[in-house]
Amino acid sequence: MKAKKIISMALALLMLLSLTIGCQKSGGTASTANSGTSTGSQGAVPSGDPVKISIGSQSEYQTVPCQWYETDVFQELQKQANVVIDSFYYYDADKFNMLLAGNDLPDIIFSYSPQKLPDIIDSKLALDLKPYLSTYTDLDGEAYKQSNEITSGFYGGDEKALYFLATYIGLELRDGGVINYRGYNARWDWYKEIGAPEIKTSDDYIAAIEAMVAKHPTTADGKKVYGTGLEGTNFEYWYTNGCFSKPAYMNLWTFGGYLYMEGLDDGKLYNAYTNLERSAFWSDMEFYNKLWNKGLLDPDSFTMTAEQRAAKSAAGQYAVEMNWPQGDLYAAESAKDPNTLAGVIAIPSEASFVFADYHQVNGYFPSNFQFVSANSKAIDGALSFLNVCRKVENQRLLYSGFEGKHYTVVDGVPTPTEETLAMRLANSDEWKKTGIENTCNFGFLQGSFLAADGYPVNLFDTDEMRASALNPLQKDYCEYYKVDYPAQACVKLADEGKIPSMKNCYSELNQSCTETMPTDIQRILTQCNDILFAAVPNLVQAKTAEEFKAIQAQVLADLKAANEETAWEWCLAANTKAQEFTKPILETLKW
Amino acid sequence: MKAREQALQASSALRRKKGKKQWSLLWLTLPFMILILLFNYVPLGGWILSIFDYRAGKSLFDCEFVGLKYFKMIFTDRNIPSVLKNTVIFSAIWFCISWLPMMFAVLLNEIQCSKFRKFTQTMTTLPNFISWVIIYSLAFSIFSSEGALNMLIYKLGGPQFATNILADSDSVYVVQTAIAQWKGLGWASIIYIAAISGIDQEQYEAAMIDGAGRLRCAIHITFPSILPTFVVLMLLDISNILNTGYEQYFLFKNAITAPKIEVLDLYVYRMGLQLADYSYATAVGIVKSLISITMLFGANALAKKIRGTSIV
Repeated sequence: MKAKKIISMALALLMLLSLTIGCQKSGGTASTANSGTSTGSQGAVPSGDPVKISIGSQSEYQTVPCQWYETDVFQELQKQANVVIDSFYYYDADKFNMLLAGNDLPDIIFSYSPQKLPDIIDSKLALDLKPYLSTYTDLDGEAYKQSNEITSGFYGGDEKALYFLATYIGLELRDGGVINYRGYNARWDWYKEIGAPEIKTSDDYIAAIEAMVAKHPTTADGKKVYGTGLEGTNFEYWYTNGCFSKPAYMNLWTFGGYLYMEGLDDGKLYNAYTNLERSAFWSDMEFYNKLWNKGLLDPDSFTMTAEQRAAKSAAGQYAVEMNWPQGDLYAAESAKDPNTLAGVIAIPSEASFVFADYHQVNGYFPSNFQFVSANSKAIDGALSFLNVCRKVENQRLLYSGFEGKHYTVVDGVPTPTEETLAMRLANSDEWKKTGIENTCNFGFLQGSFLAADGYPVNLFDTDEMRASALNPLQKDYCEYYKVDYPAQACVKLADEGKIPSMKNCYSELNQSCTETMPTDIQRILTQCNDILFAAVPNLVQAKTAEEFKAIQAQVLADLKAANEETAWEWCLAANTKAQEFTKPILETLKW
Repeated sequence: MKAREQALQASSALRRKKGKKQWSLLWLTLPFMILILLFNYVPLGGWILSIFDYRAGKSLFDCEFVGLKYFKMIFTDRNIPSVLKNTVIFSAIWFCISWLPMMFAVLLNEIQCSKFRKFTQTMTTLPNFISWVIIYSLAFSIFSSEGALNMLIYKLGGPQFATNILADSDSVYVVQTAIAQWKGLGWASIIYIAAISGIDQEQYEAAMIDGAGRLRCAIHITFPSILPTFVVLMLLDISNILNTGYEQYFLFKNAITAPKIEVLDLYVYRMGLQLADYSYATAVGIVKSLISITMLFGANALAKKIRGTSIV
């Protein structure tokens, strides 16, 4: 009996213990970071043993075989800052909400949730960096001054506090990068096979898709080939945002998935819900409707997940991809045949635009920002690490590697070594281990930002380097269009004035100076999106133009009933106010 | 007198001993009581969010007090009628077929070959342990346009894409209920199998001596014996009429099924966690809980009136 009693008590205790273990804070290194050694810090780098810091990111950047912060470049940055990245969290938007609600934040936080900015400030979750700028001078280095002024001016209140740091400041893709990711795209080998017809309208595009599918009705293993397919679980990926319609748009309230867009041609705000003349949404729906009626849209498009769509794409079942070319097909085919031309790439078209020369005055803020937790127990460590990362020479390190090892400077000209170029082209494990170009959100400057030596921080971001690192598909594309690298084919059209580039687009800047949308307006627009989402299958599957128009009329009536007009008025006023705020900034642009 | 005192002492010693034994049993329940307290009662404190304009990370003292604003909003929210309709339809179908696990248990009990019975029971119970994510993937590979079913139809000479029930809004209620039944039938029948095993075997023997066959035994012994279990579970089902869960619907929701598959729990999840509209989602959750409690007590009172027994 006694033994039974002891066992029952022990079991009860064990269960209680398991409860307490279950209730412990998960991944709790954030709050237990070693701060002991950091208190004695005199300068920008804490003295003594390396300080343990934790970092959280609202995204996933596990593109290297090891933890990114174990790569050579990040090891060097940690060494310079005398810190050790002790833990790293990835979280989605839902979990980020939870972390904010519980004030359970790591020392450094990356976020893509601009709607949270006022809450972070009001809740005093972010550390005001202003008092630290005199010690950590690179946080406010020359390259970042304008951005910091904008951010603190707009979000810093009367004290002009600096709560947030912007990332990727400078010109984005000065010459369009290696490939242009926006526009009409097609599977290159099939597109070439049908004679690479010129695409001036969406109807030309549909005709090209039809011709490609007619030539290749099934894959080698007998699977049916479609024009394209989309994921049905997320309709936001159905909007091409004017990627292949003219005029093109940048989605201003894109962060909430709301359809108020800035026209690239005139910088004005357009209402894609109801303005049928200039709505990327409605032109996209007409495009998909035509594809559907020609049997070119994968019927699983309404039910597929992203993974299922990617698997079909990799299996060669699609002739084109929406939004921007995905690498699934090329990755699968090049593994079988390194010289394959089977891959999707954007076709130069006078009916499109090129994503080049985009002035990132305030980086991607507020859609992408960083802050230090006000409750961090390793503030010195966190600031030291950010400070080290913000140094322009370390941005060069992040993008181009170690001087003398990965690039050499001869007569003042920094040039990547042959070994580095070979390693990069092979994308070997050795290359991934270096961590070069894998900035993992610590790219505070765009790769095209010019360092003090007059060369970009990303030494691979030059015409010569782009041309030197092409795969067989890209080489073939370049030979066909007689260009040095694929994006040049589209950039040339912009230079000739035939298509717009991003040089007059300041939507990111406007967005960074736009007040956060009130909850009531968000609710209205959520309802509006629900109305659109519910209508998409019917619109796409409408058998006749009349049926399409009838559904459209019903959607417009539903949007009106949902008070869309109120939301539009608010957004228009907020955008006008933001443009007034950014006007003097644009006049003093430093590049 | 002495004998009486001795008897009293013995009785109180026995009571003490029994009490001690009961205490040790109560100690064993303590972890579960704490679990229930922590995860079922403590979160009720969060209901307070419904009367504030709560923003994540902000102290409640700094949030604006809005009173019943969010409760009033429920009546103007144009999504609520359709969400409520979907929830009630799913629950009604579920309620109508709530006898299936009982019937399945009875039929299972009638299988004479014990190996086959155990095999059937195991095979029907296993799906309960498969996550909804995997079930969705399975369903997609079978029922999608290029799934196994369509391939089979095509190979048998039918049209190429004969059917895609995952993208058919007309069959959402039936398909989702069928999938949920496939997953949960075996598991739900366990409680009836346990009830059947508790029936006195002498009743069957006596009935058989009186000439009853297997059907009569089932009708006159098995069913009446497990009926109280069925009633209790049905009462609990009534209180859960608005609690359909959201995992299944979340995964099977797509553009075509969306208008018919969004149930109240999924809506609360979408509003609260995805759109971070905590206060409104809390208000909807409160109303849902209050309706559920009311229905539970209503059903309980009804059962008491009809059968003379109840669970609360």
